[in-house]
Amino acid sequence: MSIGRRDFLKASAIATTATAFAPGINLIELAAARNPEQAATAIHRWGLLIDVNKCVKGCTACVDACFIENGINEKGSPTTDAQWIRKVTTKDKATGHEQIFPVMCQHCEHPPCVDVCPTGASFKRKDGIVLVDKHICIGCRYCMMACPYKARSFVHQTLTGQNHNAPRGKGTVESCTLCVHKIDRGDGITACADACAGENHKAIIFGDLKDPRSEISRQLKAQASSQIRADFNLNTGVRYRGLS
Amino acid sequence: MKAVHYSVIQGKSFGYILLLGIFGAITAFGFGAALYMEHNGHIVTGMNNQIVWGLPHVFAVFLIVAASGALNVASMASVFGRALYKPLARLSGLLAIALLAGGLAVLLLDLGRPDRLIIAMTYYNFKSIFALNIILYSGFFLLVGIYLWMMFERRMNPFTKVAGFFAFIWRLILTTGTGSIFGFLVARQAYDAAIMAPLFIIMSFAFGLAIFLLVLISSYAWTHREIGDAVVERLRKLLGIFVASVLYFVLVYHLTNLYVTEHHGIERFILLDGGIYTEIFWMGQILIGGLIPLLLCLTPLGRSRPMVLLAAVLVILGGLAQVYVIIIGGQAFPLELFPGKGVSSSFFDGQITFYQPSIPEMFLGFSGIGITLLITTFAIKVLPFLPNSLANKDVDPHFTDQSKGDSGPSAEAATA
Amino acid sequence: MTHLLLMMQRLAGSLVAIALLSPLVIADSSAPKPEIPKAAGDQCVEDTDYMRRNHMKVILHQRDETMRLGIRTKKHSLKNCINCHATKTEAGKLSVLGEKGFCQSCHTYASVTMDCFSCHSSAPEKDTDLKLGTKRASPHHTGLAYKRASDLSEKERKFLSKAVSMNTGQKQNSKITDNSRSGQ
Repeated sequence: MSIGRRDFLKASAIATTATAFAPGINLIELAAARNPEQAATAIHRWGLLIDVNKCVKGCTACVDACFIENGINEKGSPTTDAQWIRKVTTKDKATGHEQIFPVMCQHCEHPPCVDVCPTGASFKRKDGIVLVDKHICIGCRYCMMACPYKARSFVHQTLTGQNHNAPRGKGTVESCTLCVHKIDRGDGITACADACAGENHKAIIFGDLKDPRSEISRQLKAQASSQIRADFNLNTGVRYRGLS
Repeated sequence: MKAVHYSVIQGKSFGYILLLGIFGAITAFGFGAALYMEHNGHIVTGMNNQIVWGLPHVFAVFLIVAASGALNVASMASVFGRALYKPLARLSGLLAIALLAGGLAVLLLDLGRPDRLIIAMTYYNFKSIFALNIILYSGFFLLVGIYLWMMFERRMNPFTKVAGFFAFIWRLILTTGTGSIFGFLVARQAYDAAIMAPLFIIMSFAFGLAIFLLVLISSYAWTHREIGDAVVERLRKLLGIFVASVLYFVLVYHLTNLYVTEHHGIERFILLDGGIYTEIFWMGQILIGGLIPLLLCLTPLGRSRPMVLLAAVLVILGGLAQVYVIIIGGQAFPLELFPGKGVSSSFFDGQITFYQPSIPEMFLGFSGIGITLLITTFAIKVLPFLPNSLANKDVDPHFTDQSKGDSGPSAEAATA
Repeated sequence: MTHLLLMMQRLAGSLVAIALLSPLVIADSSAPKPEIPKAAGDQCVEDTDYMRRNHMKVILHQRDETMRLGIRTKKHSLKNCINCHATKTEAGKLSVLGEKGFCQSCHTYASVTMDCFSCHSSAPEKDTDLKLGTKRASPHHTGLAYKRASDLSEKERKFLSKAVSMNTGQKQNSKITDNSRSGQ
C-alpha cells in the first residue's frame, strides 16, 4: 500500500493537535462535515440503528434507494446478483412470531472479513466503515466465507454504466459502504435511512455512535438494542431495536 | 544396504509421447476454461453468492493437501532414517512440488482477478491465513527444491538429513495452514473447529501416499523397471494405517459436533438429510475412500498389484469426495444469523443452496491434476528421479515374503 | 592496452546510445502519433509534461488517499480528470474512452492496459450528479451535528464546541465501543 504509516500518523496527529490547541473552532468542524482534505478520524464511528417494530412488511424503500444510489442494476440471476442490503423475515420456531427488517454489512469493530483478506483489500476506515478496496481485491472470496452476516456479494459479470460515486466491477467483492461518499460529502445520512424517513417509517437512523449528543446515541442509551450474533463479540456498528 | 543407482527414463516411446499429450491437453483445456471464466465472469460457473468456493477449490485444496503428504516418503527416509524409503525420496520430493504447483495453479486461475497475481504477491495482510499460506507455499517450493538438490548432488548428500528435517517441519506447518483456512471461520457451522488442522494433516498423509503409490507403480510398470513387494507391501500397509487415521479423525470431528447442540443442524445435514452431500459423505468419503481401501490395505485381499492400485485410486476418489463435502457441503448449509429462528429473504438466507458445477469449472479442476502429471512425466525424463531397480534384493536384502505360498510376479522377478 | 579498453568502452557506450535513441528518431519522423484530443479548460492541474510521465503516480496516490483515508480533494481525483478530458465518442456520448478518447487513444498507442474503467465510470459527472445523489437527502434529517460549520448559528456553535470538547477530553464518547464488548 502506498499510504505509509507516516501519512496515517500525520492525519491522526493533525486531529489530535487540533483538539488540543484549538478546541473551540476546530471541534465544530470535526463534528460537522469534514473538509475534503481532512482524513476520516476515529473521533467518529458511524453506524445505524434499525427499529424492527417500525419496519413495514412489503416496503422495500431502503433496498431500492440503496440500489439506485450505488448503481446496482444486475437483474435476472438471483443467485449471483449483488445485494448490499436485503429484507430478512424471521419466524420464531416455537411461537411463530414473525419479524421483518433490513440486513446489510454490520460494519463490525472487529470485522472477520478484514482479518482474513490476504491483500488487505478489506479494511476498516478510521471512522468504523468497513470497505473493500477494489483496486487491490483479487477476488478470492475468502471474506465472503468469513462474514457471519452474508453481507458481501461477488460481481459475477461485466458491468457497465456504474454510478460515479460507487465504482464496482467484475471479479471483485463488494458490500454496503454505509454510503461513504455521502458521509464524506457531509450529507449526514445514508440512502437507506433517508428513504425510510421519506416513507415516514423512520425505522433506520444513521449517526455517530461516539457522539453522545447524536440522535442515534441518545436512542441507544434510552432503550434496549441488540446486535445480530452478538455472541461473536464483533461489536457491530449496526444495531437493532426490538429484535426478539 | 547397496548404493542406489538412479537414471532418467528414455521417454522416446509412443506411450510416453501419448502420456505427455494427454496431460498437456488436460492442462490446455483448463487454461482455456480459465480464460473463458475470466472473460465472462464467474456467472458461467456454478458458483454464486451462496456457494462462493466451488469445484476448482475442491481440486486445489485436495492437491495442495496431497502435496505435503507426498513428501512423507522422503521424510521417512531422511528424518526418521528408514533405509527402505531412501530410494523413493527423490520421487517423493518431485511429486510434492508437482502437486503443489498443480493445486496453486487452479487456485490462482479461479480468482476473480487472476490478472492481479502481482498484487497477491506484493500486498500482504499478515493476519490473514491466506496470506500466510502464500508465504508457506513459496517456502515449500524453496525448501523441497533445496532438499532435492542435496539428494541429487553427491557433495551435498551429507546435508540431506538437515534439509529433509526442515522440509518436514515446513510441510507440517503448511498443512496446518491449509486446514486453518477453514478452521478459523467461526461463522460457518461446518468449519468452526480446531480439529480441522490436524484432520488436514492426516488427510494429507493418506492422499499424498495414494498418489505416490499410483505414480510409482505405473511408472515402474511402463518403464519395465522392477519394483518388489518389499516396497509395495510396506507402502500398502502404511496407506491402510493412514486411511484408518483419517476415519478416526472424521469420527472424532462428528462426535464432537454431535455433542454440541448448536451444531446439530449441520450434522443432521451432512450425515442424514443433506441429499447429495449425505450421499457423497457416506458413499464417497466413508465407503469408497475409507472402508474399502482399508480392507484392501490391511488384509491379504489387496496383495496383488491391481488391488494396490485400486486401493490408491479409491483413496484419491474418496479424498476428493471428502474435500467436496467439507468445502461445498459446508457452504450449502445456511449461515445461522438468527439461532432458533426460521429465516427467509431474497438473498437465500436460511436456505440450503443448490450447486451445480459447470463444465469450465470441471476443466479447470482437472487441469490441476494434468499440470501435476505433466511436470512429473517431464521431470523423470530430464533428471534421474527413479532408481533403476526397486526389486526386493536391491532395497532390502533381508526381505522375506511373509506369505511364502503365493509367489507374485515380483517375487519371481526378484529371484530371476 | 588501457587506450584500447577506453575506446571499446566509448564505442559500446555510443552504440547503446544509438540503440536507445533510434526508436525516438524513427517515431519522430515516420510512425503516426496518437491523436490526443484537447481538454476543456486552459490548463491541466499539473504541468503537461509532468502529467504525461507521472499521471499514473498522481492518480495512484490520490486513489489510496481517497480509499483509505477518505480524503476527497478534487485536484488529482480521477473524476476531475474525466470531467475535463472527456470528449464526444462516435456514439455521441461523453467519455475518455473510445478510439479517439483521451485515455484510450494514447494507451492503445503505447500498448498499456488501463485498469480503471472496469469499475469507474468513464463519463464526466453531470450537474445532477454533482448535487446530492438521492433527492430527499438533506442535512436536517439528523440534526445540527451535520451542518457545515459555516451554517451554524452562534448559539449552536457554542453548544457544540462545549459538547464535543467535553467528550474528546474525557473519552466518554467511546462508551459504546468499550461497554458492549465486555457487557454483552
